Amino acid sequence: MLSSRGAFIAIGGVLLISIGLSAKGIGTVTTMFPILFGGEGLTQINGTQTATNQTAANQSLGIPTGMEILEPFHILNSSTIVDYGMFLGTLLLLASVIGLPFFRASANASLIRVTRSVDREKAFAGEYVHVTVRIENTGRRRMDFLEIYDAIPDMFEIVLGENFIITQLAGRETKEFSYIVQVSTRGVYRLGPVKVIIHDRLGFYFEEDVRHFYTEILCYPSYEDIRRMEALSKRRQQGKMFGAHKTRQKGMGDDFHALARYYPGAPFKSLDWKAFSRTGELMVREFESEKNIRMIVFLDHSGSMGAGIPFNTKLDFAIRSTMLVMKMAEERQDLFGLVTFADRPTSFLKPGGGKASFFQLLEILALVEPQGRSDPLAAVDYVMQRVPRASFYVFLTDLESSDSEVFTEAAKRARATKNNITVISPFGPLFETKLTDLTATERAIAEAIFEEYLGYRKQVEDRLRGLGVEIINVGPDDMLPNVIKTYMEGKQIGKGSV
Amino acid sequence: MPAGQMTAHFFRILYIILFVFSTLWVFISIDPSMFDFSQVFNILEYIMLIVQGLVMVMASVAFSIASSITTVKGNIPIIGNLLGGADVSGMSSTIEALVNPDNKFFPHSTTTTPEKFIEDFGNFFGATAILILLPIAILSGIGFLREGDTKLAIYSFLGFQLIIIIAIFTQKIIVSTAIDSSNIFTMIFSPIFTLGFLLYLLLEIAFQTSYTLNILEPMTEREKRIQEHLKRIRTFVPISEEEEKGREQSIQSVQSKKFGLLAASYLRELVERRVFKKGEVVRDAKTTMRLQSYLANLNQSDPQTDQKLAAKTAQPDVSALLKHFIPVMVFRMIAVVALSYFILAPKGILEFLEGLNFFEFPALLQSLELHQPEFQTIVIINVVLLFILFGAILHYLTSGRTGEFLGGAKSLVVQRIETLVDFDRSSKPTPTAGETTEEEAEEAPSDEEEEIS
Repeated sequence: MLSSRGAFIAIGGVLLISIGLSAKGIGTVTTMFPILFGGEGLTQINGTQTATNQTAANQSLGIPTGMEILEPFHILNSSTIVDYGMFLGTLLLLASVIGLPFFRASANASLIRVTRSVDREKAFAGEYVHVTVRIENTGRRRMDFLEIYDAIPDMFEIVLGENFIITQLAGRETKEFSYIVQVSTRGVYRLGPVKVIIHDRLGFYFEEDVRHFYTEILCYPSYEDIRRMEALSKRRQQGKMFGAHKTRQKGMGDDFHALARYYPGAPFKSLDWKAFSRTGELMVREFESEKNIRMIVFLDHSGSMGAGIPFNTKLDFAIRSTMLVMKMAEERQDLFGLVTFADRPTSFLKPGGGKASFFQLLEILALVEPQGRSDPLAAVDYVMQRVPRASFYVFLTDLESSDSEVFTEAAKRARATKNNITVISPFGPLFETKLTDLTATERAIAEAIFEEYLGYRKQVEDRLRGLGVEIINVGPDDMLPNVIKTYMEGKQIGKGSV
Repeated sequence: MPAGQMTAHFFRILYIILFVFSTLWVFISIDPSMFDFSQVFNILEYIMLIVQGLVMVMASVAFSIASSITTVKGNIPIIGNLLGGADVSGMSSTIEALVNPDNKFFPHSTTTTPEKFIEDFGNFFGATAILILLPIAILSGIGFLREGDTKLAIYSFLGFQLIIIIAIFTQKIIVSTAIDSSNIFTMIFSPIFTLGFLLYLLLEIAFQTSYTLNILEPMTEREKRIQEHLKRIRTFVPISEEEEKGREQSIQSVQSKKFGLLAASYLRELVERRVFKKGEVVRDAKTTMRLQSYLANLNQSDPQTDQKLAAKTAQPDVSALLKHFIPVMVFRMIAVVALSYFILAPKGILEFLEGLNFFEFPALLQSLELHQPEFQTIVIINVVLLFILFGAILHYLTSGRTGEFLGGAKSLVVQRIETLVDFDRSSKPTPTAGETTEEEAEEAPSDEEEEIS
C-alpha cells in the first residue's frame, strides 16, 4: 500500500503533469487570439498598427493592439513551463512507483514470525511480569524497515522497556526485545495482538499485518493486605493475638478451663493434688482445646456489588476481605470454603485447607465479575448439598439484588441444619459517596436516601435476626477489620467447629 | 561516539552539502531582480489607485444624484430624475483625471500602459514569492536537519520548486530553460533538468536520512534511556529509611494499643495519605524496591535481561545501512532518469526498437504528437500501471508461497494459562460452578476426605 508520503509524491507528480497539460491547453488557446480578435488568420496582425516597439512585439505574438492585457497568458504557450511541469511530474510519479515491485516482492509480513514469552503467567495485582518478544524473518530477503507493536491491556502499565520496536531484519535473522509490565487489577488478561508493519526505506509503501496471537495472564487480587498483615505479625512477634483464637471447649489444649470431679478413666497426670488437699475430693484439671472451624464464605457478585469508586467497589472490598480472612484461616489450619454467586452459584471451593486450596481460592477471586441479580437461596442449596455438616456461613452481600424473602428463606434452610450465619453487608451509599465531599443540599438529599435505605435494611435485618442471623453493616473503612473480627469471634465461640 | 550516531551524522552532513549546493544553484538560476523587494511595494500604488478611483467614482455618483434632486421640480418622482436627470459629465472627467499621469492630484496615476502593469505585476509576484517561499524552503531544510521530520524536507522541496516555477512563469529564470531531449545525456545536462533533478535528489536524500534517523536514533536513545532507568532502579536507596521506620513504629505502637493492629495499619495509611500526603512517596519507594528485587531475580534467571529490555540485540546493523544506501540510491536515480527520458523523448527508444526489426511503428514515429504532453501523459499512465501490475503479481506469487509455508498461521492463537479452576473464556472470563446434580452431590467427598486432599 502507498503510504501518505508516497501518496503525496504521486499526487504531486499528477498535479505537475496537470499543470503542464493545462499550460499547454491555455497556450494553445492564445494562438487563437489573432483569429478571435484580429479576425484575419493566424499569421496576420491588426492593420491599425502603432509604431511602438511593444506593439511590434505583440504583433509577433499575434496579439492585436488594444488586447495587450492577454500577454501573460501567452507565456503559457512557451514550452518551458509545459516542459518543466511534465518533466518534474514524470520524475515524481516514477519515483513513487519505481520501488513498488521490489517492495511487494520482499516485504511479505507473513514471513515475519513473532513469538512472545512471559516469565510468569500468574501474578498478584501490583506485581510485575517480564514479557519477551522474539521476531524472526523466515524469508531470505532483507526487511529494511520493520515496526513491531505488542499490544497490552489497558489495565497494564509498562514500567520498564517498551512494547514496540523499530528495526531492520536480514534474511533468517532473529531479534529480541522485552519489557516489564505491572498488572494492576485482578482478572484474566490477554497480551496481544501483535502488529507488524513493514516499510520501504523511503517510506513510500507499507504493509501491515495484525497477528491475533495472545498470551493469557491471570492476575490474582492484590496481596498487599496479606503482606501488611504478615509484616505486622512479624513485628509484634508473640504479641496480642497469641492465643486469641481459643475455643471455650474443654479438651487437651494448654489453657486451663476448670476443675472437675475425678471420673474413672481420667488420666492420673490431670489430678490436681492441691485441690484434693484443699477439698478432700479427687479433682482433675480440664483444659481448653483449640478446635478448628469450618467456614464458608458466600461471596455475592451480583451487579449491585460492582457499584462504588472504580477499583474500590463493594466487590473489590469483599474480595480483599475474603482473601485476607481465608489466609488467616489457612494459617490457623481451619477449613475454609468459598461459594461465589449471582443469580446462580458461579464457583465453589470445597472447605479445605492448605496452600493448594488457597491458590484455587485466589483464582476464583481473580475471575469474579459483577453481573446479574443475586440468589442466595440457590447458593445455600448448592452448598448444603455438598457440605451437609454444620458450618460457619459468612455472607458478603449488599442485600440489594435479592428479595428479602429469598434471603430469609435461604437463612431458614441454613439454620435448619445448624449452620451459623453472619451477614457482612457493605452499605452501598458509603462506597459511592463521601458525605464530606458534598454540598449542604446534596448532603441533605444523600442523608434522606441513607434514611430510606436504612429503613429497608432494617426490615431485612429484623427478619434475619429473628432467625439468629447476625448482620453487620460495614463501610469501606471498616469492612476488612469487621470481617476479621467476625472470623476471630466465630473461632472463639466455635461456630461451625469441625 | 556510537556507530549509530555517527551514521546519523553522516547522513545529516550529506544532506547539508546537497542542501547548500541546491540552494546556491537556485539562487544563481533566477534573475537577481527577483530579490528586489521594493517591487513588492510598487503594487501598493495600484491598490491605492484602485481605492482612489473607487472613491472618486462614488463621489461623482453621489454628486450627480444630489444635483439631480435639487433640480427636480414639483411632484416628479425622484427615481425618474435619477435616471433621466443625472449629470455624468463630472464622473467622466474624474475618471479621465484619475488615469492621467500628468495629473498631480493623483500621485499613483503614473502607470497607464498594460505592459507596464504586467511588468510591475511580474516583479511583484517574483519578489513576493522569494520573500515568502525562500525562508520557508531554507528554514524547513534546517528544521529537517534538527527534527528529522520528512514533512519539513517536503516543504523545503516545494518551496524551491515553486520559486523555480514562478521564476519561469514571470520569465525571471536566467539559465536555459530548454530541455534538449535529443539524447539522454543532453537531457541530463540541460540546466533546468539538472536543477529540477538536483532538488528531487535532495528530497530523496532527505527520505534516506529520515529513514536512518528513524531507525537508528530512537533505538540508540531507547537503549541509553533504559540503561539509565535500570541503573537508577539498581542504585535506589530509600531516603532516611531508618527514620521512616522509627516514625512508623511509633505511630503504630500508640495506635495499635488503642484500636487493634489492622485498624492501626489502616489508620496509619489514611493519615499518611490524606494528612501528610506522604503515602505516594512511601508507595513509590516500595514500588521501586519491589521492582529492584524483581529485576535482581530476573537477572539471576536470565543474565541477558538487561540487553533484552534495552533492545540491544535488536539494534539495526549500521554497516548494512551504509552498504545498502549507495546501491539503492544509484539504482533508483538511474532508473528514474532512464524512464523519464523514455517518457519525455520516446522517439529515440522507438527508433531503437524499430532498428531491432522486431517492432515496426512508422506512423507513430512520424507523428507530430509524439512530442506532445498528451502523448507523454499516455505513456506515463501506462508505465505507472505496469509497475503496479508487476507489484501485484510479485506480491501474489510471494504471498502464495508463504501461505503454503506457514499454513494457517494467521488464525487466532491463544496461549492459555493452566488454571486450577475451570472458567469459560470464550466470552467473558467468569468462573463457573458445575451444574448442580444429584450424582455430584452424592459423590461429593466428606469433609475429612477434602481435608486429606
